[in-house]
Amino acid sequence: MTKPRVRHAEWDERTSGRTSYVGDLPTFGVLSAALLRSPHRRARILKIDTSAAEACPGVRAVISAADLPDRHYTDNGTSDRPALARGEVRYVGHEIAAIAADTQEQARAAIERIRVSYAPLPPFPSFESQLKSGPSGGDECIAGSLDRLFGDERCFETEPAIRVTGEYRFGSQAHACMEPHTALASWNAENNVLDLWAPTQGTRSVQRDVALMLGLDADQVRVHRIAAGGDFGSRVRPGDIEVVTAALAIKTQRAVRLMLTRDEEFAHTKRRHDFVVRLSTGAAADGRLLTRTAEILVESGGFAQASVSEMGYSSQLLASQYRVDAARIQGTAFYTHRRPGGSFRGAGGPQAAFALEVQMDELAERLSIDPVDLRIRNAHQPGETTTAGWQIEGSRLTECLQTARAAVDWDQRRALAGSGRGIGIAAGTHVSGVLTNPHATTASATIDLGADGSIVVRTGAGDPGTGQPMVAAILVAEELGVDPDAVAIVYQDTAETPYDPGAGASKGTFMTGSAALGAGRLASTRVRELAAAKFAVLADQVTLADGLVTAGHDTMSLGDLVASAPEANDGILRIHYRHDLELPLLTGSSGFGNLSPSYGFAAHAVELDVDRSTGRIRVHRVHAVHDSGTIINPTGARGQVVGGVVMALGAALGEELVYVEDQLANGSYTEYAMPRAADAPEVVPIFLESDTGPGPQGAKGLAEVALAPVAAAVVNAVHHAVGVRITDLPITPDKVLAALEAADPHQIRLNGSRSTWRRIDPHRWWIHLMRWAYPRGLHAVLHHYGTRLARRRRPADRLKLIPAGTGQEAARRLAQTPRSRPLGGGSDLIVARQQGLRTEENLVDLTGIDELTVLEGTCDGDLRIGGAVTLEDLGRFAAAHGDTAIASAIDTIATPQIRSVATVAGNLCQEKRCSYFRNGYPCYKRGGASCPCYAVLGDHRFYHAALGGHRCQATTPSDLATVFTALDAVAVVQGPTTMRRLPIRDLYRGPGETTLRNDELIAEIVVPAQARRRTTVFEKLGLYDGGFAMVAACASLEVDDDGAITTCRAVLGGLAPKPYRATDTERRLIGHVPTDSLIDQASTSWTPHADPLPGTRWKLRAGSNLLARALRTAADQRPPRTTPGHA
Amino acid sequence: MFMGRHRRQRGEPARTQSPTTTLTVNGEEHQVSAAADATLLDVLRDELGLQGTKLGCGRGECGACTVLVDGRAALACIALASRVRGHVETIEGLAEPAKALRAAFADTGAFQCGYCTPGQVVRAAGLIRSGAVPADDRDLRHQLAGNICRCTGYQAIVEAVRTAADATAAAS
Ligand code: FES
Ligand code: FES
Repeated sequence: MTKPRVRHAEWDERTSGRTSYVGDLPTFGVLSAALLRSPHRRARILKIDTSAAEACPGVRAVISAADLPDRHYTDNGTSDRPALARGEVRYVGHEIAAIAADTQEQARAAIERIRVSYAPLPPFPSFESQLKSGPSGGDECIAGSLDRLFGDERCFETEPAIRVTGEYRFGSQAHACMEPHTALASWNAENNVLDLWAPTQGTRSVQRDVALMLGLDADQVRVHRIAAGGDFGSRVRPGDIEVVTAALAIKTQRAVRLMLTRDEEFAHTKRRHDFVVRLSTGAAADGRLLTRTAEILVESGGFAQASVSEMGYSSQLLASQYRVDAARIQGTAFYTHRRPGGSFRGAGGPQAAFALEVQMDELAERLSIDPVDLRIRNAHQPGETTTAGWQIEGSRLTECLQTARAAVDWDQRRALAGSGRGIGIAAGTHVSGVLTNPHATTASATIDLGADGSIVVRTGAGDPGTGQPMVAAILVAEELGVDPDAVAIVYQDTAETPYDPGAGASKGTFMTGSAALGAGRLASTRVRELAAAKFAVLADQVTLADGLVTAGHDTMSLGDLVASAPEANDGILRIHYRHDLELPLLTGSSGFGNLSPSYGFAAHAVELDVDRSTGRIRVHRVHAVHDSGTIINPTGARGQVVGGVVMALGAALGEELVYVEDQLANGSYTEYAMPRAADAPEVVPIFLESDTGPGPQGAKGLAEVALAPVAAAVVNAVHHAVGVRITDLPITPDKVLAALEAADPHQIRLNGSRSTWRRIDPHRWWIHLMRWAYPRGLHAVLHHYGTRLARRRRPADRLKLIPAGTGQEAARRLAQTPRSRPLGGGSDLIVARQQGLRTEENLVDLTGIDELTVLEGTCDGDLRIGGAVTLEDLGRFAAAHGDTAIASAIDTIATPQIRSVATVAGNLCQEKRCSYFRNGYPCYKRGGASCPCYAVLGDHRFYHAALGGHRCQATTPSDLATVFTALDAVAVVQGPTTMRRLPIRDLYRGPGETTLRNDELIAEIVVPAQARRRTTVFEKLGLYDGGFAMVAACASLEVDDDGAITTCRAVLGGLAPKPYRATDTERRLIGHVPTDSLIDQASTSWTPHADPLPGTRWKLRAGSNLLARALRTAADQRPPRTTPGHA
Repeated sequence: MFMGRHRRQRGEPARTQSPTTTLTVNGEEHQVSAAADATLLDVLRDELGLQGTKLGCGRGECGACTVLVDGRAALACIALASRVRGHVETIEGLAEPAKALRAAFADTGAFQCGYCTPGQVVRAAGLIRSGAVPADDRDLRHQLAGNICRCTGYQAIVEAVRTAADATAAAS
């Protein structure tokens, strides 16, 4: 029944860069817009003075809430969000005013001149405190709440045989669309129409809401066709830029474009809400689920957006995914002062499914029932109605589960628990075409048959990669007996297409497809009628194939037939079809009722490995079995499932938006750990098809249900692999190691210096005093008052490139030119300039200097590496000449593109990766001694020190520094007049800070022959492929003929402000034959020197284990090679 | 409190008194008025009108702006235009020679929204042309790790690159 794969109609444009996104539209005469954002989390706006801004050069308009009608977006039912802050700001980054100017620079400069007076208001309690100490802060900090009873209350009276209770957290995830939000608007005064280019999958909801917010009629807003670089819910309704851009266009009567930067995209667009589900399920001894209670706690951010509706959907799903007699679901969505969350692929479903499906495994364990059997036992069968009133017309969940079980050889492999390799299964259920509002229950499609034989299908759907227009074309083509590529598609543009409700809530295939199929059938019927009249046969004797209409021996082309149709107009026969869902709408607050015409089901089986030493999880394969109905567009369907699984794996294993002081701390692709190609597993989609459901040919939505089972299946597989169950996503290595340690009473806890810090060591006293004082008011004082004294960095000036012919000339130029700095590949310096970390404008270009690119083995066997050698070149050379530790370290650094330009010296001298420092916090290192280190109380688990941290907790990020330290490398430092040799261990004075003078540069790194002869092994733990080291270890060994270690270097990176040489470890090993137990003991012997923060304590375990692994590998690689290579 | 940083946005008019520099793009020499801090991406998109190269992050983190410089994949958003000496190839120049690769992208479903796609195609075309496509899929994925895709989950991209590389190898 599966249809053949067809190429996307726009494949040629989309793969050749010819597809236009908003940023590609012509900019001639287009004004640029910029936004003023609130620096406060909550404050009353007393006055906005725009006069100075209006007087700035190039400024054409300034708007604030006063310029807009007093309205709120409809959002998803809870309508509380104005287009610009009105009277009050509610979160850091809240949009207050906007400016349109001739250039982007002018707009941004003028933004700085808007004066706003604020009266700070007391902040709402944080979400963490709401979780910890129960709801507080009163009604004003509650966006919405629910208390729903599904089923018969009396069911709760009998105590079930078994009850399992737990708390499950699905943290906040970023959509992270690759195209940053951009909108372009212009006002057509002649027709009184607003032309809007705003990428979206929901053209009509954008049209409706933009019109509403501006006091226009919907047909006064034309949403044009423009490609969308990703949606995932983020653009299904207007975000925060479309209305503002349009208002500026109306005010200026000009075209205006507003384009967010990547920083803004992360920090100031919606995100998935942080969900906590406290779930308790009671079951009978035979595994039958009886009752369920749940409390859903949602972090909304400053406005509700979709938080309340998603919470509502979660409540229904919790009562519907399996049979249960009764369910009592309560929920609260809290306002906080973070950027509001919003619609995100799955709409609250993945969060509920996560809780449910992890708990199913816990229940199964307690009941000693196979987890898959338990699910099958409670799965809904076709024709059943769930406790929340969903009418399950067709469900193949049981088959999905059985198929997934077979795919992973469940019965065999499940028996092998605790091996480090695990398999886990979880299920998911999702609506397919929801019924909650009248806009969602109708869709239309139009087909234009041309006398020239052309076939055009018009649909209002968008295509942010979901391919709905393709679904429409395939269905129409089939009805008319032509190839899909014979059908042209007109989509998205509200002036050229009929109504479509958009793809939200998995309506895309269902609604767009139903409309297209209906239109196709109408068209085919009409063509047959025409042919029947023409050929004097019955309509059902007519066949349509390859653009020809045939009856018996009579044949005619479709075009000619159309030309003869009496109703054809200008050679076009237009067929229109409107599809209406005639099911009752779910209304009222009980939450009970049928939500969707059909429901999709899935079961996923995950295979993974857990590295007990580092806590790292590697997912190998995901079998994604879906009750999909007919697959209309196989390429698209596979893509939605594979992409959905990987996106959900991101949330399960790494993605998490981190806020400190209510500002986003990790808003970049470097810091926000999204899967790269090498992190993603093989995904095997398996579709169980059937054509009987109410969707077009029985098809069901796939794009959302594909996410639902994933995170729970991972948790279940991890439990199978190593016996710990982590219910707080994402499951990062720190959590795995902590759980393993807690589960193993025999493991010695590595606590660092607790027992020794009382020694007379002023450094430690000082650190402990500071750490004690931080939560007791010191942080608050430094943050609120100290930062006012922060040193202001002047903004980076336009840079100037200064050429140099030799290293010495470069050093001279540095000496002669104030505010200068050497420039290598620029992969860090250019970025650090953007981030305001480096403000020197005179960059002395080192890349053309030959002597700095020397790369050779000398006749003495030393390795000489010029400072301007790229990582790629060094990596290749090192691999070819047996310097494997260097090669393997380089292979883990960043990306191929970065490695091809980044230089060795640049890598060693790069700025620290602390996200507070990088992301504009006025921290100790940015602002000076009066400012706090935000890492102390903030999230510091990954890139901060566990040893030797002082006031700044950052680490030196360079992996080469770790390796070179282990290899006793020496830097040859070029000054204006002299050269000096500086051992790498003396290169650093602090995290990412060198002892080089301003007029010095690293000309060369020399790795001595003796060190090259040792066996050296590098190991690293990153959050994703190419990520910075959370911990790295490098071991370098020389062993005598008896196998005893004669020389040993044990170096740890990512652990301390500078690369840390574990001399205690080295001492323990020297003179001994390295046995496993000796290595294990020696590898922890440095830990008493550590003084970790609470979140970096795990690094003692990870560092020790990584070091042990490096030492063991090095010891196993004896004998060392004889001579280092020459070149 | 505090707020983030500013960076210059692309799409601004040419800066005053910019010196000119010579840039070879897709086989053609151009005199471009590159200010010292203009990135290659600025020049390609705004001055030369080659908009197939996309801006995803402007920070060297995502790969959307990948071009080839003397055959090596490079990030146009962090390359200063005035420092670029080699031959720049963009998606516009590679579209024809990489037609089979692009068709493989279409057949496997290696693009969805398409925003990362020019960068992916350029990266993969560079690998295939230099015969550097690793035999093992894990290694291939590692070679493609500099190009983030939020839509596809990567599998189809890996399949497409493999298909096109095998076809190229078989043909030569
Ligand atoms: S735009 Fe250049 S790497 Fe992201
Ligand atoms: S196709 Fe959308 S980001 Fe790759």
